[in-house]
Amino acid sequence: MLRFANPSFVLRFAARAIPIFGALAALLLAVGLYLVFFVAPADYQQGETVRIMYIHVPAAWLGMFAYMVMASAALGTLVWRHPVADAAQKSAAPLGAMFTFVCLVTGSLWGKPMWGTYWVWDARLTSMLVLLLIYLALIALWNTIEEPQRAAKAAAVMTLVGLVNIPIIKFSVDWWNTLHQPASVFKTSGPAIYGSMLWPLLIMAVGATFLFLALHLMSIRNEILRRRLDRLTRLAASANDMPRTARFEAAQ
Amino acid sequence: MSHDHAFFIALSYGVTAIAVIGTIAAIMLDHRRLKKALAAMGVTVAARDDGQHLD
Repeated sequence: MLRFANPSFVLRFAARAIPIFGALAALLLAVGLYLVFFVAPADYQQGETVRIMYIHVPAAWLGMFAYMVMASAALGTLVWRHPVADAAQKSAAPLGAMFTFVCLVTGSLWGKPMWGTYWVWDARLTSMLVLLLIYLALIALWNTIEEPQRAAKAAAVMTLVGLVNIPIIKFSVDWWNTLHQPASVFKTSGPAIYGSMLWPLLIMAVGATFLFLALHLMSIRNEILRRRLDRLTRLAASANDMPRTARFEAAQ
Repeated sequence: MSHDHAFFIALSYGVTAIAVIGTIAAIMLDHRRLKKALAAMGVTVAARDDGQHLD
């Protein structure tokens, strides 16, 4: 597995996979949006407002999925101390924050016409807000600690601690009385949603997942290049700091 | 569809589009900047084998 975590292999893989994932994301999201606005029916209770669901739900899933990716990478950082694992973890955080932000904003815009309010301190909404705060805290942590290895270790530990929030988000609607509706797709008794609405939702979700994968690979590639640039800049700076005789000896 | 509901739907999709397009643009601009900086130091993007070392 460590062979595949070679930065050069990741760069080669990213160069091939990004266009494929990007094209699949564009295609699936285009088909999904067509189905959402021209094929899927309005809800018998919510009317046309239900169309917000097709972006709100995939954004929520990806907000949590990105965190699971980060937690897996955090294990790679702590167990194997592999810098590519840290790069993968660091690159997923802004994307997870973006999807969680989209989930919260679209949920709020869906809540106003349906519940009569933009926000309630409901268990599902609050735990999702906590997820966004964890993402922002992790991004701040990486930017605060200058030494990459220390930052990687601290962020990995914090990511694994924050993992406790994911089951809380998932089961908040079962554990507490919430205004937010319970799960309607991933249920042991099967989805409680008609196929005419389920298929557009699943196509949007798969399209958004490919979008995440493409963006994640692009971010990992940037992170690898950034570290190469930092290393070269440090080497150049230390070479310039050397006395002339030492520089001559080093060159021999 | 009432105007009120159309407003909320349009705003939801608009905010999502701005967030996604903004993220894509930020990542692509960052990539361009990094490639230029590396090229200025005489390094091509994928031409070397680092083993496991990044830093």
